[in-house]
Amino acid sequence: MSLSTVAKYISLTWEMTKSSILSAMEYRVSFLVQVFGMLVNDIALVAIWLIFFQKFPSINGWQFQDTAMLFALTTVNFAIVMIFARGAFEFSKTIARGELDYYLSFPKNVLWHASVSKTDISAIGDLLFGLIIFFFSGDISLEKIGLFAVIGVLTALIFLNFIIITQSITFYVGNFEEAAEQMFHALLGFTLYPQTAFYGALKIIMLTIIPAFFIATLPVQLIQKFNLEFFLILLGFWILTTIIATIIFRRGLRRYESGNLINVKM
Amino acid sequence: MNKTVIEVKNLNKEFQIKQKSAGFIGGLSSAFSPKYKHIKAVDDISFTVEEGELLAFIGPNGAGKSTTIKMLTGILFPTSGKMKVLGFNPSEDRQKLAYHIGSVFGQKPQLWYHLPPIDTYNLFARIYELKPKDYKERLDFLVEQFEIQDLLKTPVRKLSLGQRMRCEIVASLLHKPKIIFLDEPTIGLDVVAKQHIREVIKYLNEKEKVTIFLTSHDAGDIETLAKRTVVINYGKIIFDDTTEKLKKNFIKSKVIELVTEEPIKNFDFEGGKIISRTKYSLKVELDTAKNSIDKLLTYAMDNFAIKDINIFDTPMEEIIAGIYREQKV
Repeated sequence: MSLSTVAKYISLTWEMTKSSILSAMEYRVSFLVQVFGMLVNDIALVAIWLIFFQKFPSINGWQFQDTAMLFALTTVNFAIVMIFARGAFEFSKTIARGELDYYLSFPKNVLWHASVSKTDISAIGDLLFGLIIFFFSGDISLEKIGLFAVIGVLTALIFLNFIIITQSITFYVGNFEEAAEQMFHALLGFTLYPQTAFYGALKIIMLTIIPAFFIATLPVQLIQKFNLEFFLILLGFWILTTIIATIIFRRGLRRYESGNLINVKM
Repeated sequence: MNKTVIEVKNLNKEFQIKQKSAGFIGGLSSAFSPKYKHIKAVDDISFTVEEGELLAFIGPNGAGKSTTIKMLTGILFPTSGKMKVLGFNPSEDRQKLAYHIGSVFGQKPQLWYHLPPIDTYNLFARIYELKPKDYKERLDFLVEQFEIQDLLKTPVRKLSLGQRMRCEIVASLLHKPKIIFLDEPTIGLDVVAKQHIREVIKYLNEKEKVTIFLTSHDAGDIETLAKRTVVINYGKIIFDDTTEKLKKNFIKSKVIELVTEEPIKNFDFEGGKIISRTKYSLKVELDTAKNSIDKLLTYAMDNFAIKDINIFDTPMEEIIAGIYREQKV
């Protein structure tokens, strides 16, 4: 894929997202409630941790500032996926209902098109929260802001790959919607707690089937203290998951059975 | 001589369908040892379509019409067989092919439901990489031809089904496709809207020289539009000839229902056979080879106090039964 093609896809992604947001803004009240409702929800969650850390300042060396950074990073990477590629989160349903037909009739990559076709409006609230809480995560420097941006995008892409892989299993087993959702929530669960609390078997899970280590633990460490070797590991993990996600989706597509449900593009 | 734009040879598509016995125990046993049934949705079909043709591809529900279109547009992979559309293999070159074809699935709208059509058109122009000047010219032209000026800025959810279908067709024509696949474009539309869509399709074929591949199970669509008809049933092609021949041999009758103010006593019209009657209504099967509908209507208006008239096309099942009967003979 050439650079100009990548640029075209990035600009089209923005166009698609704009259309989704425009579509949601047709209903202004619902739009605002979703965005600000999520912001309040996130603030409430972090407030609980704030109270917790006032009582117990450190868990295995993990402090409130680390939690603030963890929340900043995970809400931002989660928000990036949900704003720009919410469609991937619904692949299982899309495949099972034969709704991929729509995307397959366009001259674009179907995995991209189906992913960017939807936007979760409440994720805009998550993004705002993530950016605000970032400034409570200790000393802020220009370098740290840059690292946060790069790692935020990189972990969002890993997150997206995880969603594509789990959702695409539907191609092979018929319906995997609930199971994929459960795996997604398991991943989210791991990213909400002090990362030093996990060890042993849980750590193995976090490194493999539920890759929270690469979405939360390692990137938080990297932003706090950059290390090239660890950064390359993260980059490598992204490349590996991209290859797996692409293969699983492409092979799955050959098994796609379409369908005849009547549906509309919202 | 016209160029062949669609070439299909021994095309097959098989689906594997899980079979489950009734009840909880049945569900449990199928979860542990699933049994599958193989269904041939498309069974060894071959045909070609020439450039500029308007072909009707018809058959009852589940005959394999949509499956064939989906294979030709690259949505589904065939189980076996060969196909070429505009020189591309749809399974391998789906994206390249998509720049040159358009598709309208009557039951699967492309327009964004909450947005006005113009927003979707602008987005499609980006997806198809149309140059802004070309896109503007094309859009102006289509908007005028399809009379959708007043609909452009209305959210799709507020449009009637007929208006929406016109806007849908415009969406699939923005990139000037060479072939357009129309899958049940008149489904659910009233008589006036159906007529409007048929005119649009005719226009595309005659003036824009677009090759049209139309599926429908409305015999009216086929009679008014297509010169050639392919009939498919249980995945097999059972008829591939001129629509004229299909009409002459298999669409021989229409059913006319007359509802009257007063009881009908004497009905006598050549070619008209009463198939059911109540005190104030009559259903007549008219042999169109012997007499025409307008003559029957004139006769009815002259002789009875008509309250309402309904005209029905020959049901698809009857056309197919007729084709089978002829093949057996």
